[in-house]
Amino acid sequence: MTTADSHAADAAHAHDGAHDHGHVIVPWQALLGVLLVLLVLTVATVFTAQAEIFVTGEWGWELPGWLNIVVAMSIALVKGTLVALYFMQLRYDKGINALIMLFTLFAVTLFLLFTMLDLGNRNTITEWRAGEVNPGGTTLGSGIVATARANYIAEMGLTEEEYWKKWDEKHAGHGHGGGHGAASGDVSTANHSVKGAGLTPGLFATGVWAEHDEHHDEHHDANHADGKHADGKHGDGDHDDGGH
Amino acid sequence: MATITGPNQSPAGGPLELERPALERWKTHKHGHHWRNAEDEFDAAKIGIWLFLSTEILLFSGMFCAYAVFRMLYPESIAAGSQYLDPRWGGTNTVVLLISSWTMAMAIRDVQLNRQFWATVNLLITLVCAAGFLAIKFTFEYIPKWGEGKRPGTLFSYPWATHDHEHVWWSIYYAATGIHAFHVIVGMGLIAWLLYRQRIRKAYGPTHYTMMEGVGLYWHIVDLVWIFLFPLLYLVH
Amino acid sequence: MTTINPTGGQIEEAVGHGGGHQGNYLTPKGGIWTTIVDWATTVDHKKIGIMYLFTVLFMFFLGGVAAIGLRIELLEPTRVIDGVTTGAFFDWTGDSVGNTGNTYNRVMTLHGAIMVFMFIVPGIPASIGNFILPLMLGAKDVAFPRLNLASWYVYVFGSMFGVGSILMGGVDTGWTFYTPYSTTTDGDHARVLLMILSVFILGFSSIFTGLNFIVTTHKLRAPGMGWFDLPLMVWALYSTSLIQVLATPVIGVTFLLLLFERVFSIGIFDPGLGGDPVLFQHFFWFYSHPVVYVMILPAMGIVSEVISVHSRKKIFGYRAIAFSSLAIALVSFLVWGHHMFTSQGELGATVFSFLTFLVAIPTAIKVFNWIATLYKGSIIWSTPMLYVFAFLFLFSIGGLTGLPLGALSTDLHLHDSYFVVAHFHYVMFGGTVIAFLAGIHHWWPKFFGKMYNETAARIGCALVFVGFNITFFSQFFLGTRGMPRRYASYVDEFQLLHVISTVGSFVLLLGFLVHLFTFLHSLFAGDKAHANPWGGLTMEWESDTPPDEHNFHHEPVCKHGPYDFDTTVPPHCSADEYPLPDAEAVKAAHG
Repeated sequence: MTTADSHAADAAHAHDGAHDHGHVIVPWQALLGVLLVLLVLTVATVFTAQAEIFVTGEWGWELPGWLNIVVAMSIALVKGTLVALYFMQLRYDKGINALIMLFTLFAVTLFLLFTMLDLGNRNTITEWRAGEVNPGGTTLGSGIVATARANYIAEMGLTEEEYWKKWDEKHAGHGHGGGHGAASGDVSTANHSVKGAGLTPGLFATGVWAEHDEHHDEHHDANHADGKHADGKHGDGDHDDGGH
Repeated sequence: MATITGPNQSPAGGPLELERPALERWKTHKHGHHWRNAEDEFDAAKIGIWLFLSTEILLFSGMFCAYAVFRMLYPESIAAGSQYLDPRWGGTNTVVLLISSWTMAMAIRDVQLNRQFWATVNLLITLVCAAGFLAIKFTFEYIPKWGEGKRPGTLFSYPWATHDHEHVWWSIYYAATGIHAFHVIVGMGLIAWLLYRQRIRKAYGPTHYTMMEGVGLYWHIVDLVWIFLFPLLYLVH
Repeated sequence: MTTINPTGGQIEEAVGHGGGHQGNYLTPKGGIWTTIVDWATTVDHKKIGIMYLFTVLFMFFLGGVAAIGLRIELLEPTRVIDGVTTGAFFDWTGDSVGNTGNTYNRVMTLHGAIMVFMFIVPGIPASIGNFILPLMLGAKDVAFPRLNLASWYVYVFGSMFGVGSILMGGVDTGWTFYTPYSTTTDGDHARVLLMILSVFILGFSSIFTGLNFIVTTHKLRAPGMGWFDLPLMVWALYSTSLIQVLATPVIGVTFLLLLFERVFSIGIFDPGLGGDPVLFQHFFWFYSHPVVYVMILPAMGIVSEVISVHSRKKIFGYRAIAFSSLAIALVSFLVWGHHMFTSQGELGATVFSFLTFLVAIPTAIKVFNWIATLYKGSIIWSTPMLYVFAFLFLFSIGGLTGLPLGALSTDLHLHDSYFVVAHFHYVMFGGTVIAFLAGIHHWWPKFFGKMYNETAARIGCALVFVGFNITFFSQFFLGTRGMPRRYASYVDEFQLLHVISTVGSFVLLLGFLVHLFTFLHSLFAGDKAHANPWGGLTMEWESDTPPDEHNFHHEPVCKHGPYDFDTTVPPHCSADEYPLPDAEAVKAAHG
């Protein structure tokens, strides 16, 4: 706390300094330019997402799972930065406000990073937990999606077969299955194999859950394993995203 | 309206002071008694607003975090859920919000230059865009989807689901966009209030526009959150 | 070491210093109704601080009653011998032993939720901090006075939800609201909902205060006051506020989702619906761990102030203490996972365990600097100083017992046992509450312009110290021997230690009653206080005691550091009272 420090800090404090900060009038050309760039980027991000589906569906290229999230998030990041710098005037503003934002982003990063840190490791205890958990729902007895399905079947007076036939029709026509199943071509049956109650195979797809499924799943069919395989791939791709 | 007393000196550079100068409250704005000058008050208000914005970002980061975790736990269900959304509506809404963000920034610029008429116009456009965003959201997304049974959690009753945890997807979708929509509604209230203060009360001008700046920053953060929500919900699969 | 009676000496002359002025902030503006309206609508940080002080202490009282109830229930285990039930204190009706466990859970949740959310989080910053932060900076008020008042109203409003929920029968989720307890218990009542809402609302109050303090520190420092002329209390409050602003929104979104989960069963946290309960724990602790430092950092600020003033010695390692406050704020965001070692994956647990040990560094820096400050100081054995010694002792025990809990292997044995209970009470009570008491006694003259009875206060302090140690030290033994936390009954072998603990809690209660008496006595019949009874150098002592409406007669200018006891005669004091050391001797001593 020497005098020099106080003077330096006081100078930085600059409460009676010139009115140069905080009252910048942003040129309209800059604002309009930023808006146009933002609009172009919006179109671009929609387009790249569609292009990826197209490339996978039409040409059969297997793009890595992390690609689309990285591209989409990078574009969003650029857009967000532009909004912050120009519309929110961070570029012209006092440093303290930018510093606050940086601290905030730091906290957000820590939050996302550490919360997902152990997701891949959770299934190491699943082996001991599996017996106690009623997969897909202890509250309803079966999963919510399966319950909705059963309710519909009961309400309409359909048989299982009639229902699944309708289900196939509904999902075969349009590209509903979209990106994740288009490559294998038999999206509907692959999805059909997912049993009514149980965790969606993802991070839990390995080892224990697969065995668990085999023991308890009466609707098990040949496509099951394929579905699992595809799911596992998606799981890996998503895992990489977690770091961003 | 007759409460203003004392000299009504125009600050240097106020070009349009001919218009009813006696009613322009921004010229007679007094800074709070605990501030040394108006400059300090303005800077402090801005720091305060930025701190508030950081709380908003952290609030939404919770939604992003939940989204990320469930993407990793149930990748298929989340990807399938994402397919139910139409990127065209999401994209339109993004454009609507971006334009409103731009008009908000322009409104502040107009006030700084004392172009009160254009400030009003820009604020009105912002307000209309905000209403448009909500209108699109409700008419083309919330209401039809809710009607089909694509609802969160135990309310879920859509019979044609392809994956077992699609209800979790809808929970995330409704929670994230719902909290965002709530912010849009609050923002509309604030912008309407700004319009009243700006147009009727003539409270903002080149030397005093703290609230414009504050509401503007808030509105941009609403836009910013949507910039990230849009690709995550509509595009990523 | 000299003993100075602060009530003696030249009080009469000194009190006259601000005399003739138009009263102080406490002077009523008119009749009773005018005064009530004046207080209810005030934007004066001092009045808001005092209102916070009383509401927070009232909450402490409610939480304390619950704690005593818990200790009475634990006096003996529930036994049923020949159809006669003994030891079921909470079984009011006597018809079911099950009731006692049910009630115990509710009282335990009540104790935890009130003490954490309504007492200890707003505790020091919103009451003492609100009052002295602007004074220490030489400001007329906080940056946003109306927001400050709003903070108090939001706090009261939120607390009313919480207390309402308790009056309706309480909740048995535990103060952590873990899912699925919080999504499934008491399904037919709105009580859990009210409690969740209460915490959600209280978060806003916390954010308002934090935001206000940060801006105040940035923009309202007196002319000449640089960042390194700030009292360490301000550094501590500043760091606290950073955490409040950055962490509290997360509890907001957590409890919002919990609300949705409870009302609409959306399946984000409830494992029965496909949700992830561990996600809730991450969310919850991302807020609640940093908040542990919201509780302790202001306490550390108080210790820094009191230890320097009451030993009349320049604080040792000013910058180290200041930066360690910021470091603690930073580290607080890195370690939340140590609350969930047994529920998360191995990788997470290992990383968090490693990071947890980082906390020890800035904390130890502070403790060593405080002890170095005491060296060769002229220590006054006043009540605040006694409490600071208690703090150093108890907080060290609390900190050191955190190490076995931070290490994975030992934690597996100790987690969810009374060892944990004892550990965090040593930190939260032995740290925060003890420092809170030090702060209240230190600034009491500034608050009300009255002195308290020093002898009675010292007796109270001794009782609190002894009672606290009896209550909680025994719980370390209980924990290592395997007594799990949150149980209404236990095996016979634990009874002796439980009895000791309960006896200790009554000694503690007695200590608080003595303090209550001294405070009331001081308010109604206390001696008028010297404007600067301890000879402090920070700017709040430059104002009158109690301060007048706008804090200072003239805008103060910072001319000396906050702890320059070697070179400055304290404001309102004479050089006879506080003789400056010989300049040559100082030079020789400091090299």
